[in-house]
Amino acid sequence: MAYVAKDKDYDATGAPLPGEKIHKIRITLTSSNVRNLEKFCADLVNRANDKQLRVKGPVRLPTKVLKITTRKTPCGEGSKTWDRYELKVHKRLIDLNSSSEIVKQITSISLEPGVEVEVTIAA
Amino acid sequence: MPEKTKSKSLFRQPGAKHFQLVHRSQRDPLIHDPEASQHVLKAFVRGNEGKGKTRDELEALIAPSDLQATRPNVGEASLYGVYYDDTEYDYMQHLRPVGIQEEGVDSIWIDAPSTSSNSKSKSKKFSEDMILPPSVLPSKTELPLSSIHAAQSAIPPSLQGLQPDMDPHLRQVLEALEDEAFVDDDPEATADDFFGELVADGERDSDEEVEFEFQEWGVGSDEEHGLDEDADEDAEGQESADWEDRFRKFKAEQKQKGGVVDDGSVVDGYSEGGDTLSGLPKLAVAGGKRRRTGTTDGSGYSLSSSAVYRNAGLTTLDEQFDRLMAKEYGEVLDDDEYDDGDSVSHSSRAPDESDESDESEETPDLLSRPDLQASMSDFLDNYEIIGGRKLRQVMPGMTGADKLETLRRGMASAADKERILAEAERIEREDMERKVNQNEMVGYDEDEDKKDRWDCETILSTYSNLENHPKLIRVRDGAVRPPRGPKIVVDRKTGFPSVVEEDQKEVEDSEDSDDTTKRECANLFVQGGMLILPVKAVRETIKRPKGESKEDKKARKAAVKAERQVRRVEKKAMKSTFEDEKRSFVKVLNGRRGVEGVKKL
Repeated sequence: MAYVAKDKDYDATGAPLPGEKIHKIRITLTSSNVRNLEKFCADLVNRANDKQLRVKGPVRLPTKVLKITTRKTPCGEGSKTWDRYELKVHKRLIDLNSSSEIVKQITSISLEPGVEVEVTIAA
Repeated sequence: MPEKTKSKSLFRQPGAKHFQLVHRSQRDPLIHDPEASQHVLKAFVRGNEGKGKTRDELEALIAPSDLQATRPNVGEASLYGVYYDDTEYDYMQHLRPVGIQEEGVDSIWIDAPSTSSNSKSKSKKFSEDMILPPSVLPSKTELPLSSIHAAQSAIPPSLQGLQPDMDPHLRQVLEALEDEAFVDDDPEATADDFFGELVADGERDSDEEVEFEFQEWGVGSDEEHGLDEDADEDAEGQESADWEDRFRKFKAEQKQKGGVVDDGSVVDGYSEGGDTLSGLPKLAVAGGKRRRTGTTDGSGYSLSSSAVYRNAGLTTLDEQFDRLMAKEYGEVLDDDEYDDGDSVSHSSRAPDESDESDESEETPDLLSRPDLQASMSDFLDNYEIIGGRKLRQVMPGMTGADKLETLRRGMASAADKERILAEAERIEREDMERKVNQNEMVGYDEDEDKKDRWDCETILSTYSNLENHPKLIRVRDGAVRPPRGPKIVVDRKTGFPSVVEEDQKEVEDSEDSDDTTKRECANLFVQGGMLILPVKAVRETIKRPKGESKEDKKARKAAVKAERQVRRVEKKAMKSTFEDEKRSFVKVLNGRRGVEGVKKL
């Protein structure tokens, strides 16, 4: 059975196509707004799948909960009531194997508000 | 080195490059380029990577004297995994170079078979690092802040400020742009690519000659103060390139005229700047010396808004003032000044004509509905307002009885109405027949109507006069009369008991009545809403007489006991009655007020 390359960056023998240097790219998405984050994630993954890239789909890291517990009172008087504030930080990772072209397209995606995007290109 | 620790993720190794996706900087020249992307990848250094120091930095920290090591290969051993202090002892002597055959030593190098999968992936590592396309990265050069400020300001910096040496053509063009007279609202003219034509030839250099002559107003020229810049007359068109020469000439002329030197260059009453307002006269200062240095020249007058250049707000005020004056004194407005739609249309007429009012009593037809009159009259006739707010249809019928009649008729449904009416008619007919049969007078019975209709109470009340007020009729047989003695009466409203002294009269009255009515009993009964309880007339305390015998004592004790027992019974009866009354009263109260709570009396 002939081996058919999964993505166009490799030819039939499995060696990378010349001229198309593929690199491992990790996109880290951080946000405190889950809805926007998931939407953006889905968008990215869909685009990557459209272009037939090898995608390692959104890895959901544990949510970090930043808590601050303070007394409600500005002075010390009164029954000891406490305020518990928290900020939830959600983080998602998407790994791609792609060429530099794809990176260009990442910049053209409309960003959701509140989502921070980091791109890491492996050594 | 001890066992290899878990290898880091590919993306966390020192060679990886990190970027943040950010908006393009405002100082980036491509910010307004529609083809360039809105976001760029900005490189940043992650976490601990920025904390390390290079060798040069470390060397800079150490004093130069310490850098001078005795041996040249200090620290070389650490490259090969030997981390001990090299300064005194040379560890390199124990390390052999790989692959080099030394004399006297037989050694060959054999690679250990690698079992980890990492080695395979590492073989794919490319020597060349990934180069991102430059469109994705922020621009190398940024616009300077001054250019950004210039772009944001209303007037470009090249035109800002006092520029006495500005190209006179440019100056005239700028003035023309500000001038309203040049505004051409001709639709044909604006359809052309006017500015396209203007800028088609490109920017003119400052040295270039121009075809038309530059004419400057008022500087020693005799021509009219028209808007005709392309004057055919060559005239004394002072084309001195140097503004200073012109200014000197101007000053000389001013001195000739001996006029007041004003701030604006006012010549022949016409200022160069285009506003024809003259300055306020200056006050003479004694000795010609300005005593107060901080103030502006001359005038002791306060700044009135009439002296200020007319901007948009002041122009509006001026127009309003003109309109006001026109209204008051009936002057014709200028053609230029337009009316806004809100103001009342005023025509130009003399004040004495204003008595002829064209204000009619009725509103013009456009403002009212055609059926307004009809609906108004309908309302006035048929509807009334209750309590100032509620609208209600007036019930037909003048008197109360008539209104009731209409109500009754209205309430009866159609079918019922017919039945009832049929029934009523039938009864009437029968009555008539009966009367006719019995030869009674058919029709209206006068006597019956004239006779007054009396009931027993009314009759009784007719017997009352000043001396006599007949009482209620009492039932004769089987009536139980209350026993004699002071009556305790419980007031219906307050619930307090009160002793009612029996009058002699009442006693007489009671004596006059039947024997059967006089019956002594200790029963409770209610009469006319009043509770009457039998009570002993006077309660005497049972005293203990001195020297009483045993039997007397027994008798006395028994009497006391009996008395107490009776009293107990009375008390109980009284209490229970009270409670019953209270309960019923509360019930009634709650019924009236809803279950909100007992109203405290």
